[in-house]
Amino acid sequence: MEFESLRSNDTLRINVLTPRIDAACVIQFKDRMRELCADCPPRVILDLAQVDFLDSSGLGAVVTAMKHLGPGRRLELAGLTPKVAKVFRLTRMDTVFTIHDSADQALEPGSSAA
Amino acid sequence: MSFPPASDGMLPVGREEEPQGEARAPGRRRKAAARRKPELAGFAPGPRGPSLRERLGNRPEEVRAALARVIRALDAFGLGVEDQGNVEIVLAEVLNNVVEHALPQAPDGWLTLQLDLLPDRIAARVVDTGGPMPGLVVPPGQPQNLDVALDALPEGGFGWFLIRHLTCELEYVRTADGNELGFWIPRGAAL
Repeated sequence: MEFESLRSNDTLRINVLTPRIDAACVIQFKDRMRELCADCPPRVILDLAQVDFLDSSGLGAVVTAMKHLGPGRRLELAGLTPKVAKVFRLTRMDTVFTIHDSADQALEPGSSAA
Repeated sequence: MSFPPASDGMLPVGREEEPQGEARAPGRRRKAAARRKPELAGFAPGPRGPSLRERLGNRPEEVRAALARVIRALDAFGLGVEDQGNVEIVLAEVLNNVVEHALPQAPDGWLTLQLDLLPDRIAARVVDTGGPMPGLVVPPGQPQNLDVALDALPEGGFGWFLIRHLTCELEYVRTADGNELGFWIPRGAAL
């Protein structure tokens, strides 16, 4: 499972470079997210633009990652593709996360969802 | 019902029942059928319309591979992207549930999936040799309460909610050999 992470000042951007977050890889996803966020800045943007599909276990893993960050930091999502967006919408998880159209947009000045 | 032009071996067999602008030689058709491996997803004419079958074992990687074959076949069939998405979301939850919860209770367990493409719906039947659903009923799939503190947010329990939301007439039967789950997914519905 491939990730790319870019750190700048107060923000860590994590690009998920794998087309699926599903039951077959959810443990790796959780482990990698824990590693990448071990010593991360207060704002983490998870770029899901390359992710075509996410099942309920993948959704749970994204929630796990956010909970792992704790109250002092926050996880925002960006670039949800249609099926991924649908899973977030149907489960109403889109009300829990700040979701940006794209990671670039999320990183524009003033876009931080404080 | 319209089908895409012939391009590869994944095209539905059922299309041969449709009027063709250009008749194919019977010998060539038999050869094409013989080349098609039985374990590959492809459609066969069923009593209710084109039908697709998959058989898989107890690993999540097999679910992933089967889903890819099913979606490829549905795409070649011409099913809309929105409908494909609904099928993929539902089948991922149903099949992973069987693999994670039912089949571990049965050594060498397996499951079969049958999809029938009807004009207004996709009918599905999943049979497995695994252990029973708890209480012999399908979980209610209630929406999760998200109005809670961060550390109390649910990390699971979304699967049956998604299945129930996107399917109709979900029926579960515990048999002598395992489980049977039937449901259908409407086509062209804004869910």
